[in-house]
Amino acid sequence: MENKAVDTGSAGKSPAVFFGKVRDKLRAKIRGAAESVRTFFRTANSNTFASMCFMGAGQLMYKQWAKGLIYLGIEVLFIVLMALWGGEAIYGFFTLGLVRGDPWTGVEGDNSVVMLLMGILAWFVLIAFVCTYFANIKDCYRTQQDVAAGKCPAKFLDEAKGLLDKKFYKTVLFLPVVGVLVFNVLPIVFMIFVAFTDYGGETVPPELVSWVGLDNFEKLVALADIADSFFKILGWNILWAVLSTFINYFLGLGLALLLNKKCVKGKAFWRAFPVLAYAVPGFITLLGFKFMLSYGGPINQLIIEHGGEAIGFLGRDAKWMARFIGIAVNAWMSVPTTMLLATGILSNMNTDLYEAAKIDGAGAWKQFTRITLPFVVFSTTPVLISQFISNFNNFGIFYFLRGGLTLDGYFEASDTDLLINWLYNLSIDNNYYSIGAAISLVIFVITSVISLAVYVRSSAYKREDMFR
Amino acid sequence: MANAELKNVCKIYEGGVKAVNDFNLAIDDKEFVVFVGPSGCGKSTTLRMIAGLEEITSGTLYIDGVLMNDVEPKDRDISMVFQNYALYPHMSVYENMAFSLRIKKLPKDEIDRRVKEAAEILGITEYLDRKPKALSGGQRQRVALGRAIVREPKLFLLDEPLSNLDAKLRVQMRSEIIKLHQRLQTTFVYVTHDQTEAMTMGTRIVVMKDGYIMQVDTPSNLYDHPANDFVATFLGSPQMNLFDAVIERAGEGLVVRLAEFDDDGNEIPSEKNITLKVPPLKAGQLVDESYIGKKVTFGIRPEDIKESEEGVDGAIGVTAEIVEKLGNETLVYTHITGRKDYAIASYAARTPVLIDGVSYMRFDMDRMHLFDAKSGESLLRIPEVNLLDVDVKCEEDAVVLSEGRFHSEELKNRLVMSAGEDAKIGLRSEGIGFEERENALAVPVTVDEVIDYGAYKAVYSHTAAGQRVVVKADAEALVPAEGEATVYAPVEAIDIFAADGSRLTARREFAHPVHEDAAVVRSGRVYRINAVVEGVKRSLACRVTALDVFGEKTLMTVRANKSGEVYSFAAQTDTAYYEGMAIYITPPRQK
Amino acid sequence: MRSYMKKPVGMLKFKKAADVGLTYALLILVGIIFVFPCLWLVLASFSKTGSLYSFDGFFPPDYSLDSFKTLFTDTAMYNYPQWFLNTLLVASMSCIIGTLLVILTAYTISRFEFKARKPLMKITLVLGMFPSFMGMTAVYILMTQFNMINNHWGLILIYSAGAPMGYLVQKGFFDTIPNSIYEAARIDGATNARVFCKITLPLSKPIIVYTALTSFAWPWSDFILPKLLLKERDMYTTAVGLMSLPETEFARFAAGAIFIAVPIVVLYFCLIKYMINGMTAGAVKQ
Repeated sequence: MENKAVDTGSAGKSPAVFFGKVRDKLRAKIRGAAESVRTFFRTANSNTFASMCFMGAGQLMYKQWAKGLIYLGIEVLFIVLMALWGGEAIYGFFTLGLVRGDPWTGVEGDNSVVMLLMGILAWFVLIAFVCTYFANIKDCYRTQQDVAAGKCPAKFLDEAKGLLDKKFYKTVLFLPVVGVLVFNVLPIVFMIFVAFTDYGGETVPPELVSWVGLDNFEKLVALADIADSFFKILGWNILWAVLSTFINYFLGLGLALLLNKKCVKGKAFWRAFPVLAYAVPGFITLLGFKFMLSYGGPINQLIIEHGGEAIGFLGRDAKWMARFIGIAVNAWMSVPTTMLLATGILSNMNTDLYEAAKIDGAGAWKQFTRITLPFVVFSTTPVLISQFISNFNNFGIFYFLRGGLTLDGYFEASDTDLLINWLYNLSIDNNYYSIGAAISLVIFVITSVISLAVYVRSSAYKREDMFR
Repeated sequence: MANAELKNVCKIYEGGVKAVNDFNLAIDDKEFVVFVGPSGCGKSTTLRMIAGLEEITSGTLYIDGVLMNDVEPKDRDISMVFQNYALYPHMSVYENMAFSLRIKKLPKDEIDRRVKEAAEILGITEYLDRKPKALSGGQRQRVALGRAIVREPKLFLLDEPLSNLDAKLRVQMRSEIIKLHQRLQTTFVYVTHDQTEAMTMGTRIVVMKDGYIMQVDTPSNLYDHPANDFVATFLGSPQMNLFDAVIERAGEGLVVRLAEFDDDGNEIPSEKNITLKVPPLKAGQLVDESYIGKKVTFGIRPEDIKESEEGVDGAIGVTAEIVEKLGNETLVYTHITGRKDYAIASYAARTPVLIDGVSYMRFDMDRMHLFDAKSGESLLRIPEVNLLDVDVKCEEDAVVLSEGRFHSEELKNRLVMSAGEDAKIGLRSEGIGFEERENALAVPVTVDEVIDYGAYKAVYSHTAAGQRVVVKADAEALVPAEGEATVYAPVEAIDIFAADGSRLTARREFAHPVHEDAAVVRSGRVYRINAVVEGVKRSLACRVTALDVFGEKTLMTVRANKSGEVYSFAAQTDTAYYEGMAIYITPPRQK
Repeated sequence: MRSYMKKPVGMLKFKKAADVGLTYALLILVGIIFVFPCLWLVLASFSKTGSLYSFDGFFPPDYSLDSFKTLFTDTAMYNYPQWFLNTLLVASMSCIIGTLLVILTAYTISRFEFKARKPLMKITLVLGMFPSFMGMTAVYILMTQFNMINNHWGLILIYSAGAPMGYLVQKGFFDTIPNSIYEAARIDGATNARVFCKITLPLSKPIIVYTALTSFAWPWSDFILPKLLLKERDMYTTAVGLMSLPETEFARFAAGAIFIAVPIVVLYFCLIKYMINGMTAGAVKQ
């Protein structure tokens, strides 16, 4: 039994210990799984084996006609589907097209991008089938156990009714899961793959696209122009995310505390102003600010009237000014959210703590740092993470404030652009899809690592339940 | 109107946490059974398993003779009252009570009748239109009770229903629930952590700790004859005084000497010896003579300590440190002079007590308790088995006892291991009696004492050779008064023991030969025995027909589903096994 | 404590008054900061001239309702009324379908324990960390394959399908309904479907309102997706349409902006209670 010298609450969560625990858990899981497989193969009977060869055969042998036929039907359907479409689609996934279309000669070529997409879809179908196959085996095995224990194989009607009752969750979650799979997972998977192709620029259909491995990532880090911009933009992005998250958070908290003071009458009235700012749709306020700060805009007009020169707030040379304005405008738009959040949390606070602190002699500042702050931060750590992520990927702010401004020294970007703005410029305006996809992956890795690291340490996760 | 039976019920959560271990209980119709114990002892979990809200990991639950393990709660014909009432917040009281009846699609006037009747009984008729948030805690609890009543169930389950109420309301609701039980004449199963509630409400109490049953008995038996020190200290407030002590012989009888021990269990010699005489009745109840000379725990309740004076036989010199005058009694926290021990005594209300001076008290030894120092078991309990030194001979196809006076083939069949020269027999106290029956071993005895426990009786007697025989008889059974009598032991109640006290016979029939050291492997819900069995090549599906626990080993008898062949295995004991469970025999892989 | 008592009472009163005064001064400042840009836009929408440059500093020289009139009548280039109707269609349909899906998903994950639950939650969390923009190209190609380009239902489909991803807030709310109510219902004999309809839904009014409001407001002001998928001018939503206005039409822009902002602002104010409820339900641990 060692005594760790530094013993705060998080000493036991040092990376080495943490990964050690993960490794042990994994080992135990693998051992358990191996044991299950061993047991399965020793104890499975002929019906179950039949189901392994032909889906649904075992169920039919147990006289579960409806279920057996359904499983058999799925297998047949899958084979037909694969033969007619799937096989080709998966082949196309690997080749990404072999025949280049030529409008002149009238040859209809292969559209690589569509082939990639269809290939992924085919993989999804394949995976879905494999899952159904295993479900079929598990089902037959369970029926075998039930019969061994003396129960009858389940009837189809009972199982169908069960879908509405005990297995209600399956029925309910089916549609949302499919929707998310097709419209969220599929695009993301597609883009991940695109990051490893050369799709973009001139290589767009009808040109054939091909796999290039890690080329795009190399370009990101090595190719002079791109790498240069990448690191500059990355640096600014991180700085921006950190600054804006903390400023928004503390300003919101401060505002909430201000409004919470006992001497403030008509709290709802004062709260209405920030809520107004929050309620107006984002792009409107952004464009409004853009116009406000433009060369011919009202602020400059006032300055000119009073004898000054027009300031290019968001102009080409206004690097730090533009960045500062970005943070300020973002605060204007986001502080109401954090304010409302903090207000809700503060109302849950235990006011006895303040009275005890007053008796102990703590002044207002001490009370804030020792009582209010820990409680609020503790309660909202998950929200902080999601705010960080959304600030990191805040597309609109600089898109509207500075338009598609590009500057020298940057490859299709400006000095206030975030990674996501750069992504947009590259993909939509210039068709550099594959590099864009590579950048997306980088953004993902960064944001996920940071948020997972904070999340895992937060107490919300330690209690192994989210938000409960 | 139902009885319920739980056999070997276990609840094991994912990750291996055993919440309930080997719970066995038979609940009779119209009983008011209370599960009581500290937090985390498994009482609520067991109740929820009866309700069907938790899955029973292993074991069987029968309600009215019907297996209920996989039956949905709504089909079990039960009602449950929750600790936090669990009323539907958006429905009126009437709707709350009518909800289940509407689901059952009862006719409207029937629903109306039942709801109004229940409201009448509970005195909530004027609140029928209100929503739960407009009611006080006590009223809400009544609505919860009403909701349970209208279903007219076979079994009422109540999960700490009074814990959320204030003290005064609790006392009032307690008597209301008791009245309700008398009026409805239905079986009640009640869970609480409050021992006062348990003692006042139950006809039978189940005391639980860490998932195990500590004792099941009537309140008075639990109080006067606790089976272990946990039950002894759990019931009764202030709790029983416990001292380290040694039993010694003194002339014809026994004495208890209060002693101090160090951490290793060695006695620290003290100059001041406090020796207390053990009444002969209690001495006769000592379950095993081997305890004489060993360290034991001596217990005496505060109310069984009386004031005394110097010089009186059995008087102990003490110094009173704190006196609590409670109005109906006076509690005195005393320090026994010259020792480290403390004792709490409960004197009558207006007894004058001298603080910080030397006073004397004596223990009422007729109400003393003795417990095993390690396991905590009561040393004055009715022994499960009476070991007798009787001549045992194993012949080819029968066991012969007592120089030929008793032959039994059955006993031979049940013999697992060979019995040596100095084998003994054990007679199970619950299985023997004084009624003459055929095919039973007759043991002539002299009856010493009959103790009435209310629900059952214990008859203490001794054989001509001086060996003690205790018979546990039903309350109505005819038992002789003191004097000569004969104890008849049917074969089912006889077991053969080795000289060291380990059991040699199985309680049930089993198959020869027994496969030793079988390893039982569990993965998921599937169990398999890794053993070499003749004729089994791949795997054989079987069911467990009998389990016989021999301490660390269990004799498991299984029957093949297809062929009907019976096999027996000796495997490591695990409370997860239960009769009727499916198991496969798989031969180990050839290396 | 002693030093406090040494100060004269008048000094204490002054301190307190200064504190109050400062508080209100700050509040007024905050109020102005937040209101001013909105106020400016409102004034701009009432400007007689269309262009920004003719303004006298922040304020238009003349006021009239002309901008509003042209907004609705000059539909040759900028068909604002059509845009408005488009946005209304997309927002309301996404609201209905999306709310239904999200509520069902959140309820199911909150209440039921099943093997896939934890993995599902973790995967959703990870999926949410991908920048939303990443899938845009793929969505575009997908929509082209399904022939949903330039089709409002394409937009509705995407908004609704993506709604369940944001189930955490609703789940937080459902977590606060005590489990014992469900157990009592189970003993009473209710099936899960009945429990959801008769017990959960009546108790969930606040969160349903919150969800409906947020899933209505999002398509109302989203511009990336409509810009990507809608090609014809007449199919635009107001967000995309207003963005296509040049700087010379500033007053028209302001008018259009105010017009679509007003319903949302009004809705938010009416339902502010539900908003706070919803936000804290997801974030605060009880």
